[in-house]
Amino acid sequence: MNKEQLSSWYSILLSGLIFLHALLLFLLFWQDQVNLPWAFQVTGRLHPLILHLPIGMGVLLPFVHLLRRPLGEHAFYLSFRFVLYLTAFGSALTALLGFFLSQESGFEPELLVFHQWAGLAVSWFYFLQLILFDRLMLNPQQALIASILGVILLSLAGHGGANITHGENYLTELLQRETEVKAPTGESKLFEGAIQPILEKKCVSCHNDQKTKGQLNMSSVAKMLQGGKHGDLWKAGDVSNSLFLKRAHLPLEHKEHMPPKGKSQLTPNEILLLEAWVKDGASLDKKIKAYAPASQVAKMVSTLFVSPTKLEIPKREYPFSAASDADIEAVNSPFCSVYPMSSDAPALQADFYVAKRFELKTLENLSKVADQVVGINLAKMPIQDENLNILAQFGNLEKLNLNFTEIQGANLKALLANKKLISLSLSGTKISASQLQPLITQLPQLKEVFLWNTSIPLEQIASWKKTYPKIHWEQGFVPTEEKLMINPPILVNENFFLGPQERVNFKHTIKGTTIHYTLDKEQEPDSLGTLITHGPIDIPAFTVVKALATKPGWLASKVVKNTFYKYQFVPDSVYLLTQNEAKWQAKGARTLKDLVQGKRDIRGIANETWIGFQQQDADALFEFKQAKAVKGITVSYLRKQDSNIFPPLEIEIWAGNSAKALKKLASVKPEQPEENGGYSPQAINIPLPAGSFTHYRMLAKRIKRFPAYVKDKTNPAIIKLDEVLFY
Amino acid sequence: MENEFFKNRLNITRRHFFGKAAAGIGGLALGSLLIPKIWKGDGTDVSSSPLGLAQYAPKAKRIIYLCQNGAPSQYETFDYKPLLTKMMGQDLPESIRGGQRLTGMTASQTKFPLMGSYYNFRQHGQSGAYISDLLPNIAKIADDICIVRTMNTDAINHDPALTFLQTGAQVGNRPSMGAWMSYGLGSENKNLPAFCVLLSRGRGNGQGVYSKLWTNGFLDSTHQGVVFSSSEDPILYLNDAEGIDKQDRRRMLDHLAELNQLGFDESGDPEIQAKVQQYEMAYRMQTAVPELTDLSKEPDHIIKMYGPDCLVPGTYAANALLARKLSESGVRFVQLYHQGWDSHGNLPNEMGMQAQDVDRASAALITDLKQRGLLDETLVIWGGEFGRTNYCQGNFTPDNYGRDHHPRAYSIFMAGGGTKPGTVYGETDEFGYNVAKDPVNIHDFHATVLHLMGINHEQLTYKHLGRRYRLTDVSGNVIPGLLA
Repeated sequence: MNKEQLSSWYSILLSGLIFLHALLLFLLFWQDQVNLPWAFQVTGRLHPLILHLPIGMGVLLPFVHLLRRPLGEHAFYLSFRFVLYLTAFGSALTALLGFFLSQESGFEPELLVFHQWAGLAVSWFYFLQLILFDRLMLNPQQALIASILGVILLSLAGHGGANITHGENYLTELLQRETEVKAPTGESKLFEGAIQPILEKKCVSCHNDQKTKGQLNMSSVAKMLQGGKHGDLWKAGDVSNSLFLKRAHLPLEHKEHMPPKGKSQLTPNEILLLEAWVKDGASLDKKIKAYAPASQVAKMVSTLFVSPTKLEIPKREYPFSAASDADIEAVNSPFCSVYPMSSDAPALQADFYVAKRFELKTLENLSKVADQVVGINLAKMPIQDENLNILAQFGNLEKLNLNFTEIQGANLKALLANKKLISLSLSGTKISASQLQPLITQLPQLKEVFLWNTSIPLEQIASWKKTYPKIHWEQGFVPTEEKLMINPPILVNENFFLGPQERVNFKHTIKGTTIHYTLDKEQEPDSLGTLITHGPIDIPAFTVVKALATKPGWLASKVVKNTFYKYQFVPDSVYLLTQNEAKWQAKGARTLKDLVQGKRDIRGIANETWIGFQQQDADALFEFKQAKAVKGITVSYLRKQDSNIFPPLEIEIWAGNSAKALKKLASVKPEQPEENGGYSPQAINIPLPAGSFTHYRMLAKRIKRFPAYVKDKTNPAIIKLDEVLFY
Repeated sequence: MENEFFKNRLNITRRHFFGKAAAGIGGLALGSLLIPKIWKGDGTDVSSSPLGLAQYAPKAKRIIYLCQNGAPSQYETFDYKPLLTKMMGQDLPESIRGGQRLTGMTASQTKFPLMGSYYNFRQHGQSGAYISDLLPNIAKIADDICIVRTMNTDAINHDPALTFLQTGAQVGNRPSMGAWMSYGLGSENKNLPAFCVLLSRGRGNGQGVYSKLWTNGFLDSTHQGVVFSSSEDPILYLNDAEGIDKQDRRRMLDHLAELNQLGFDESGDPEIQAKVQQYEMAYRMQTAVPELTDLSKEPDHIIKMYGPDCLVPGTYAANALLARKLSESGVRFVQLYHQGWDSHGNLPNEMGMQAQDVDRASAALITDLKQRGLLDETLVIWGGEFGRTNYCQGNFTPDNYGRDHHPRAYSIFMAGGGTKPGTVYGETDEFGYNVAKDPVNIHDFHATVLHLMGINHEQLTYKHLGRRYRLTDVSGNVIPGLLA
């Protein structure tokens, strides 16, 4: 662009400027009668955009003077003039658009008037400056002053505009300390304590004494109750017809949605609380505690306002500096843990573990960190009286645990060196009162002493408690006269079939208990006491062993009952002489001598421990390779009347030295149940006359007639056998 | 020649570059002043809070959690509600129930008859706390404990509730409290695991316990809870096999470690390192554990304190005694589970038996810690996963009734470790159904426990699957009212 073109542009700009100012003046005079076409309204909205142009140019203007020397007078003149033209034109345009915008409603009139005149002043000022400069009536020095003046004017006008858009306290609010909103208590009124703060936070910035959008002022209760252009804010008890809630529920994009898009919105919980409050009658006076604890109001108040109380974490200062990591590492071992009490303190704690691996050297080595150690735990370590001297190096020691160490107390005064000792644990040691006395009087900081399980009499502790009330004295658990029931003996045996050498073995975990037992079927459990175990109990044959424990000072234990089966000989072979039922085959004949105890069927599925007979009696032949002097035979059978399983009517024992030459030795009739019943393993001992045989036969006969209580009598009674034992 | 020229230019540019860069660095420096934490990480980063150490002076160093599995009823223990006795048999007002969901077990019930406690309540200690006659020994130490009556949880069935209580989430696979402690605070005694689990079975209706309750979740597997056997040998297979002496064992472990190192070098799987550490720990346990399980040095009257069962392995009393010994030996977190509190029916009888097993030993544990000067540094927690309903489940008979699950309010107690002794915190409404004042939900409970251990619950995190996890997940507030 050549010079002429440029100056013709200037003249066009100048004409435009004149035109704009004329228009502005005209509109100002007749502003009450102005009726803007919609297109102008739209351009009015461009005011906030365009205004940045004159501000930028106006601020640039004084800086153009920096170019004066490097550019030379002529070039400077051209540059300055160029920027000045743009500034002046921009100001005028902005002012005009601002005027268009001001025709919209909702602006604070006072703020608007100020901004309007300030804006006009800016545009006139630059217009004037332009004319004067253009006509060379200002020298560059004066022009500089004028442009600085312009910046000041710009700032004023800009501030006025910002007050309208952002609110009057926009600039200053961050300077003001945030006033802490007090959390409402049960005593405060719900409206004052919870509702109003929400409204204040979310609504009042647009609905206040200065700015009453929609003619609504929410700065006080009274003004809120007056409502706005669209009527009352709320309708007590009627959420759906309360205006402010309706507005809050409109979609965010809706132009009536409140708070408007771009402003800080109500949170869902806040809306819930406002609704609950309106629903409950929108009371202004009802206290928070008057709302039911389970009600929505109470819940929301607690979620919204019970702010997490700030925790004061007191930080203790220590008069020493932290030990180096290397030193701390050097004194650590698997059996001595030395670690900082917390990451923000130099104080160290030293704990010793595993008495067997304790070494005095480890304790001595702590000298590296002697100043930092404030706690030492030596409980259960084999510390002797003379070792206490080592502790003198820990001048800052506050807590010392010597529980169950081997100290006798003679050198307890060595701890006088630990002037800062606060807590001393001596439980389970053999110290005496007189040895402890000097520590009590001469350790000024001492606050707690633990003396449980020492020989110091309770009266002494009580008198100390009186004399030194500031010290916490712990005497610990004192056994009372109350008698507890001791727990029953514990059976050691895991197998209930006892062989020739095996015996019944009980134990008890508490020392000094006596175990009483009886093998007598008739003896009542609580009348035990005749027999006392001295080691394992020998039983002759199948028997129930009842036992209990006693100890002086304790109530006798409950009785434990266990059934044992005894055998001396196990037959080499066994043959069935009759056929067992296929469904209760078990392991066949072997079942009778396998020494596996009969088990309950699970879900009615027969297991391998019981062999069953129904269509025939049970008849079995037992064979020993060498003749055995059997004193008797135990037959164990099942009783389960509700499944037609009954004890044998009669059991016969035959014996001889070959299968063909057997003689009947004994016959017994097991007791038959009088009533119906379920699963119950039974056994019977059958003593035999003296004799020694290789072959024994056991014949168990089924009962012939069912008792009356059996319902299904179509099939014969069942016999189920577990074991035949030879004792 | 041209080349040199370019080099020269290059030099200049480089010089210029550094010169300009200085200004740039100045800018960065100013920027960094405005964002104070920019060089420190965001504070919630694991790396910024040292692991293996409390962040600030802790009140509690160790925890013994006596978990009463199955949910003991609050109405028969710590939450005295005379109104329930007065309104015995009347229906629970719908306004109180407030739409609370029902479990499948009472969903078909048409009536919810209120049921007062079978057991009487009395005030105890200087705090005047109401404790039922069911727990006479705990009542005796009322001034040492801090009862919380307003615990509440989100879950209504055992598995999710227990998982929530232990891991901070109802679904599994998050690390358990003990694992978090082990991760955050490390082990005090390097010869024992930092997190031990002891199980016992009561005589009431029982609910299962599962290994997911003491899982390390996504944390390193060294933080997993170690379950002790309830047999006479609490830690199985600790003895060397016949013919192997200590030296052989050492040589074998050293060689094994070398082999494992080869594997690690190849795959980089951290689990291999964890395994090596476990072997070493087991080796050291060979020395440490016999001392632990040796009861011969316990004074005689310890048996009277804990009750005679404390010498019978696998009982609650024995576990309570073992818990004391473990804790005393520096085990960070000892977790007990005692099954059998799920009294849907026959409640007075079942709770009676449960209390017999638990009351004396629980009180003894607290007294025992106290007399050794350890209670102030050991936090003991006693309680279940939720509470029970104030109405009767099943047939309504005043001396034989049941109660269903109730998550909205229940009672637990804590002792020692910086909790406020002789306190009753929180109130439920007259029906005991809802929290009336000072609720404590599971997250709050976790936050408070972590606080007592010297850890800001918001800062103990672990990054997994792209996000940082906490025990308290995204909520939880420390409850100042529980702190001494």
